[in-house]
Amino acid sequence: MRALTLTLFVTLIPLIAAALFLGAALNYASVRATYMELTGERLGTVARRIAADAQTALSLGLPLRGQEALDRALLREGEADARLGTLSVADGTGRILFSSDPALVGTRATAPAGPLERVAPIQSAFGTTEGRVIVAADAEALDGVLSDLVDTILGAAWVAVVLGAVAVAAGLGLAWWRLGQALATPKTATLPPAFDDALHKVDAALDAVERDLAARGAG
Amino acid sequence: MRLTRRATLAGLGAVALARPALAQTPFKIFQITYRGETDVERGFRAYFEQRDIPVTIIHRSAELDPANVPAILEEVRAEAPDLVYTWGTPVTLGTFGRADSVDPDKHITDRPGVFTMVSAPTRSGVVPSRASSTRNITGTSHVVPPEPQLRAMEAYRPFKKLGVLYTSTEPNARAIVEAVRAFQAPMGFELIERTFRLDGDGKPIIDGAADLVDEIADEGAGWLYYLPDTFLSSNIGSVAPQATARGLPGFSATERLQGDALISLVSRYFSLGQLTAYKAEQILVQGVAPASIPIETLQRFALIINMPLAKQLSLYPPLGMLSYADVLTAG
Amino acid sequence: MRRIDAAIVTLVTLVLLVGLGAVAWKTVERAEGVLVPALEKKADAVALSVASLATEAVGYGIPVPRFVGAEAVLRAALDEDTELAFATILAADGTVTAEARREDDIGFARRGEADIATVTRAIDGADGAVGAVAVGIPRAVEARVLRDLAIDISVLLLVAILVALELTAFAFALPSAARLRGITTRLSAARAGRFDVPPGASDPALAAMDRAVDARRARLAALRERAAGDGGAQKALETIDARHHLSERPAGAVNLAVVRAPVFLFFFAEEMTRPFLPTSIASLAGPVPGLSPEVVIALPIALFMAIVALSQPFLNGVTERAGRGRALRIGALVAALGYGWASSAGSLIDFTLARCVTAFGFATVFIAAQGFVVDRTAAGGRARGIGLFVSAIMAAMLCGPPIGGIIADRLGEATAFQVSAVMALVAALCAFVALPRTEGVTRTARGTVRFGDLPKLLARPAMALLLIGTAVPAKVLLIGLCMYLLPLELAKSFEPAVIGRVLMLYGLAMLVTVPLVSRLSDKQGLRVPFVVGGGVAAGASVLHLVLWPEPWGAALMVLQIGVAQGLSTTPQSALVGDLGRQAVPDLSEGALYGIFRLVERLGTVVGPLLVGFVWTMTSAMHAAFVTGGLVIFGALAFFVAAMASGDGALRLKSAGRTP
Repeated sequence: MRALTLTLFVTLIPLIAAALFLGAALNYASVRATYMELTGERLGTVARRIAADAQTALSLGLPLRGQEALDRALLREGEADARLGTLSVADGTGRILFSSDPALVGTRATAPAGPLERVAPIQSAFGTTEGRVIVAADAEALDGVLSDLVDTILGAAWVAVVLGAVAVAAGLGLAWWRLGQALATPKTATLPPAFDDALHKVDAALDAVERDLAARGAG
Repeated sequence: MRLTRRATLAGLGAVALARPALAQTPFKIFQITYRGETDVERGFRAYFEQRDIPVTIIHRSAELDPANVPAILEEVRAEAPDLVYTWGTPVTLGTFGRADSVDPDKHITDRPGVFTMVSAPTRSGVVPSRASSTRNITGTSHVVPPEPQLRAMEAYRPFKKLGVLYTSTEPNARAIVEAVRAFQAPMGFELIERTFRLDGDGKPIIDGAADLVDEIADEGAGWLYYLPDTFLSSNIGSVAPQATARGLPGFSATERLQGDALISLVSRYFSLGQLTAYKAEQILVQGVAPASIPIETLQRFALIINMPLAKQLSLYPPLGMLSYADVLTAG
Repeated sequence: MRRIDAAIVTLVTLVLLVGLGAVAWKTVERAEGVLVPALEKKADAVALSVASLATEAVGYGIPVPRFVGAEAVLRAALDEDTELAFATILAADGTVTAEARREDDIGFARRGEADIATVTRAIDGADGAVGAVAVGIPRAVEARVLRDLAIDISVLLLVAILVALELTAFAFALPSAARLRGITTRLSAARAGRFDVPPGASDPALAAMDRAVDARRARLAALRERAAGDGGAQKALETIDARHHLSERPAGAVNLAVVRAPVFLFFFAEEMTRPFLPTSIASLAGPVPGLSPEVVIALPIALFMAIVALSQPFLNGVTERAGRGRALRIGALVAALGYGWASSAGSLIDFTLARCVTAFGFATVFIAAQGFVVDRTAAGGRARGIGLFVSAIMAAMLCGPPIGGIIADRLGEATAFQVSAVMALVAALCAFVALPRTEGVTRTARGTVRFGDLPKLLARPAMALLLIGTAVPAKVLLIGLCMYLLPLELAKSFEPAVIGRVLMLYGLAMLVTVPLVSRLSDKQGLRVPFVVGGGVAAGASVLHLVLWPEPWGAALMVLQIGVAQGLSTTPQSALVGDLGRQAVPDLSEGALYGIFRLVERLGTVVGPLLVGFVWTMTSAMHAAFVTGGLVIFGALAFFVAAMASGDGALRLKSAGRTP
């Protein structure tokens, strides 16, 4: 009995903890995904706006490399929103021509530099890709926004696990106690009342037959 | 008039390009133009610079006279370039000959060639089809097909009737009108055609042009279509003001008339130069045979809005169009 | 006892429900502080975009009230961003000059303006603002988050409850629960006035109860002797015996539930890999000369299945000699090793070898567990025993994919493989705790698979078509389409979590359908219609792919395949028994089913390769339709053969045993 309760407790508590923490992780992931989606859409809008300007300038005869105005546009957009992170314009070979982060100019644009990035292509009048606008969110800024959320969700999950463990322990304890009450205790060797009652019925029936036999035997 | 784009892109032409020094031997390209260097050549050069492909360009102009071409070809043979580039139909025919009558003694056949600014590559006999020249050349054309033109008009101001005033003796104009007629049923409009009067010698005269414009306006045309018609282009001053006076907006497919039409849909010469360079790159760098490179025109054209005229006509452009159009402002 | 474990599972469910609910509530509460500003910033980016265009127009001298086609620009902004409620352009005096509003959404219309946040950007003229662009966004982000959370949490809850059920059942099957079980069975029997309970273990409380019953038995026997010759008294005694089931003493039944939990956990581990396994292979696969990428991805899957299929006949003997329990533990450990290796594999060769190791472990566990059940059940109880075993696998097919998908999604595929390894270890641990350390059971050799019998079986068209036309295509459909093509195709636009949720529908449908059908088809002798109908329905399910947008098309397809195969699987194996006995009467049932399973498993090997090949030659959609067509064709061919054979077993209400 005690071993069973212990086994149940030992198997069910990890299950409850795993389910609650997985649930917490899912909650966080869901909010994070929504946040990333919203922010990503915004980065996409900005990237497309800059790419459209660059594209028009391209068809007017301004080669991408000569579009100094892009530098100002990137800085302005970057300053308008600190969370935006880095805005860059790369040429067809992936070399960064302009960037809100001057250190990046001249380097090669690597595939997704940060956790969140939106790219808009800059195309020539005959369909070749002349370059792209890359808007990457700042990883630290994103984490900063979400870290508070992590703490809250994790805290709630811990509380739920502890309370859940207590509830399960209490439930198992109660079940154990109730069973103990209902069943016979082996020390006194008395049988459970329900079992005893059923045996008495058998006894009564057998008594009746015995009486009958005795009566006939006498007669 | 001054051409502007959004404030961020002011300063057109102030382009400084650094040419990276590369160990590779530059490709030698011999350019023959009709009237000197244009934006097409600038786009052509910019394409190579942007990709760090070293090229040496020798440029000669036919000075508006195709008769000067044979002398230039002597120079070409002496220079032995990697590629010959020609501008316009007369220079192209003079350099490479008609597809059906190439003479190796007169024309360049041993060097690959690219041509540009040839308005009708098949009709003029430069190539048998746009799919392939079947010889050592390929090239580009600057003509905007009729369908995008009609769509541009429709997008700016929907119309049921389209007026066109052209010269009946110009084969090019007749061919375009023919092509536009075919779009009447599918696009649901009616074409109102008028041709310039002819004198006794069969030459077009400008007399009565204003009356023809009035007739078109009276019939309820929504647009007046200015074809790439040589006679019309040189006499636009007698046509456009009358159309404006009657509240009839003009549409043009050439950059020459962008100041007279309300909107123009044109191939940017710079982009065309880039497209030509793209084909040259395929020949020079990737070693593709010119015959297997199709003759193409641009996929995206420049839409030019004449804003002073829009104000005069009280026909402002749709807001969305401003995000892709170039705007002419008074200045 | 029933009441106690039900109460425990209810308690766990309640704890999870309240706990997950509280966590979700906290999340939504906090999410608003993060998401509302992000939403407003996004709307601001749109407002700024439109405002800069409008500013440009004003710069060209177009007055704000005279803007042309502004509605189209605003409408395009709404179309591009489905979350915006409205977008307007306002003149300097505040009058609306252009407006686009999402009227189609009833939700927005019902919600008041108070629930909509407005973001404004000025349209600048030469001397300051000449107008403004306003963009409205409903503040109801919590609704959006809740919708996403609801699916995740309900899947998690379902899986957690199923696992809790398995674990509780397992705990109650352990020796430590023997006394409790003994007392409760005695009590519940006694409440019904019966005493036919198997003898208890060496537990004092049980012994006391059994002694009391034994005393009555002795008295009954004594009275019977005394009543010899007295018809009336004898009759009365018989009535008492019959009423209280006194002399019936069933033999101590072996508790098969102990094997259920290890099997469940072990299959859980393997099923977890389903949603991301094909993409995992794809990410490692480089070009192999002469093979298309699709076939390269199919190869490791087919190899896994081939090892499982071909090692079966051989493993049956091995696990019997080694002891089923020990074999199960070793198999689970080997598989865990394979998962661990797979999690760190850097090349396709590495990964494939790791999967081969897992395949050996997997086959061993499968055969050992099946053998464990078969060894301990007589022919009569075997169907129930196997049913217990199969339903554990189905429950794992329901639980594994969504959890595996979620873990792969949030923590990566390598972690998911590691979790699989841990699950396999836990399964081994469960087997260690619950299954006998040394095997006491020795049995006469069961019929081994003799391949010489195969031609005799296949010589009967109905039997051949039952195997080749229905059993093999069913597996081709399951492994080739659901476990190979679908995850790869869906991965192009969905996360592994979504793929996992789609795949779990198969387990769910099977889990519900199989128990319902096994009774129905047995009672009414509807075996052929069930097999044919199930086949046609399974094949036709590919139509969902073109009828509905993804992932709903795939989800409905998997669900329909699950239901259809749930309909056909039990009648199918019953038919194998009926037909097989007629075709080769001297073939033992074990050997017959050995051959059947082997042929059927060939479908799992052929499946990915066939689908991969057709995919290479045509397209994914064509491959799905070819597979579906194959299944329908096979089912119909079997139908024709069954009707033509005039075989009694195929039409009469066959009372044949189900394995």
